[in-house]
Amino acid sequence: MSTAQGALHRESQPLWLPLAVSFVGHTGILAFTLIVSAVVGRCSTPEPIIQDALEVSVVSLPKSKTNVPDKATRAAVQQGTAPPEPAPKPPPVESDLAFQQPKPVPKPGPTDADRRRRDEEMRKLERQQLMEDLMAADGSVDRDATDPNSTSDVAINVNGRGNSKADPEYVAWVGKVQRLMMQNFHPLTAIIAKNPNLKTRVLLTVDPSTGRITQRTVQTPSGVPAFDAAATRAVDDVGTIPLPPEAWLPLLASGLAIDFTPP
Amino acid sequence: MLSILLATVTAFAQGIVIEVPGSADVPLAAPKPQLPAGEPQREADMVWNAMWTDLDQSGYFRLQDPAGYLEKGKGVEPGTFDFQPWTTIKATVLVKTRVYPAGHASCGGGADKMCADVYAYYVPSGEELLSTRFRGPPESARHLGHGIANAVLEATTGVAGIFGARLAAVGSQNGNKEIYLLDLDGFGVTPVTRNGAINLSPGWSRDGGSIAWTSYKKANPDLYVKDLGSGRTRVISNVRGVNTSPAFSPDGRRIALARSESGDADIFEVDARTGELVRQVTEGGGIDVSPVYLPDGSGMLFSSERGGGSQIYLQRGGKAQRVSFVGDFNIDPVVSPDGTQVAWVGRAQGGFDIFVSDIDGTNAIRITQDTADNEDPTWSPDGRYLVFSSTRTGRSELWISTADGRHQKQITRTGGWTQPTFRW
Repeated sequence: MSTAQGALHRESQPLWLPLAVSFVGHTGILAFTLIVSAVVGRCSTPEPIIQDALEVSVVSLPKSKTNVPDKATRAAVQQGTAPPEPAPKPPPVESDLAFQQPKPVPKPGPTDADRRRRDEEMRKLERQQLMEDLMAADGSVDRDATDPNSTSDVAINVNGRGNSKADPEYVAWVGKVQRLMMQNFHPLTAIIAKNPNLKTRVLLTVDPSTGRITQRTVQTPSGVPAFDAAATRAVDDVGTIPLPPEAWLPLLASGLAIDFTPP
Repeated sequence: MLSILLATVTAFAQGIVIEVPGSADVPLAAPKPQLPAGEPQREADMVWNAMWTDLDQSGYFRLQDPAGYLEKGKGVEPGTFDFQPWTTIKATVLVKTRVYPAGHASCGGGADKMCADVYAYYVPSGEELLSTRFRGPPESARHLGHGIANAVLEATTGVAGIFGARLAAVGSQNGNKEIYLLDLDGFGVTPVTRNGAINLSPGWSRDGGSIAWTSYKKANPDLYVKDLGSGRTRVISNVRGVNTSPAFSPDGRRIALARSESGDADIFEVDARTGELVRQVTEGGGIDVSPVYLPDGSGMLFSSERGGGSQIYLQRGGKAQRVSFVGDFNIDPVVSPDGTQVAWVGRAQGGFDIFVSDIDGTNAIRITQDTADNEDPTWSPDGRYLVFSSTRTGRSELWISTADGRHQKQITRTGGWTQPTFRW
């Protein structure tokens, strides 16, 4: 009954009412959809990841306000005309067997200077002879003591101790000196990359009783002052080396040369 | 006769000759930056810390502890200090820095730019190696430090450093595996994905503008590419089965990946923009995965089970050549930027380790050992370093190593980091 009444009641409603309700409803739905899509669309906009890039520029440094002769000094050091080394070391204590720098070969001529020079050379030769007496001389120079694969035939036989490469004490001593020097020799990679065949020979005078390096001289520069400086700096930082086995001590007294090379 | 004798004397005089090659690990001193009186220390510390970390990671230097420096309060410019205190502590390279805060008159960069000046010296000769000013906004203080470190490396080794470079990696700190970007020193972590799913094997495009990776966000392991400039992501490969281990071609137009639509995984190339199949690179013969292009595009490395256990193969012109011969399980090859070397992961006693060899597999060396699992190697853009993940601390962290394995330093410290890949 109530259903029939309801139906009658609906039939009595004006025609425009459902149309108006429908219009309002659809308009609302459309508005809601537009708003939601706008909001969602805004939220889902992809975020750029590359947003933390920061500008860093490299600019020229202003001129130094100090009146430092750094350019001139550096140029002089580069050209080898100014000594980059620290204050000179005290002169070495010279023993009878101390290494001497080779002197120029005297020109022939009976001058007094030449005679003095010749006498000096003769005294050196006498010392040389003394050294040879100490050695069972079947060779004089061991340039390959650090190379176990060397085929060189110039190994040393001192006091009948035999070939240096066969003497484990001697080899161990060479290794110790090598390690000490290596630990303090730090040439720059930038220099080595440009000059892979660099070599600096530094001659050392060593106190045979203490192992203290009393003098060092760059005998053969590499041609690159910074590389030579690294070599002499290594020698200075080492300061004292262990003494070789007693049988090899005479050789140390006659001079120790270090060839500094790139890694 | 006399001259012959003299020559003998000279030869004998040089009784012992010892050859001493130079050593690496150059001692480097770098005092804290100078700062105008009364200025805050924060940015200066950030510059110095970034530089210090970079130089430490570089593998070229043995950094000397500032606590042992004898010099205090001297200048940074040539002639404003004495080298003797640095000689005494046996420093070989001296790096002096000076920082001007933003707006300082001496900086000259306006109110919003700070300056960091660097002077580097070679102590044995007193030679000035470097004098440069870096300028940028204060929030870029770490980047100024990276710039200084790169310049110091260039001045001392001849090749600029790569510090400040970006890595992509998988991070699982929040429980999911998401893709992140981070700086080489572990700072600047930026999320690439935030989908709460498993995201794996990120790979950069050569221009650094896009990252491809595999995601399980729709259940199947599909391949996606994200444009890092716009942030837009698109699906590149979603065949049934795996779509994984993407690698962009050198020209950026193709992506090589492993797909298993027909059973065992094989290597395919697809268009990097549309995902359309370009070609199938390998077919049959067991699982083929982890492709990587040679830098000149002439071939591809990948790992394959075609010979039994997983091994690394180099394919050029349709012919594959095995290049790994150490052990029975080798995976994840990566080729050096110059194309001459390959690094990969091999199973060794005690876990997984990183191996490096020439591109043909010769001269293989193992650069990690006895340090738990070491995986996911990636080459630095300059080919001098490898970054990889390692569990040696008990957590999975990113580490950087020189390519010879001599120097290894930890990058991240939060745990949960795997699969790093360098932006080249």
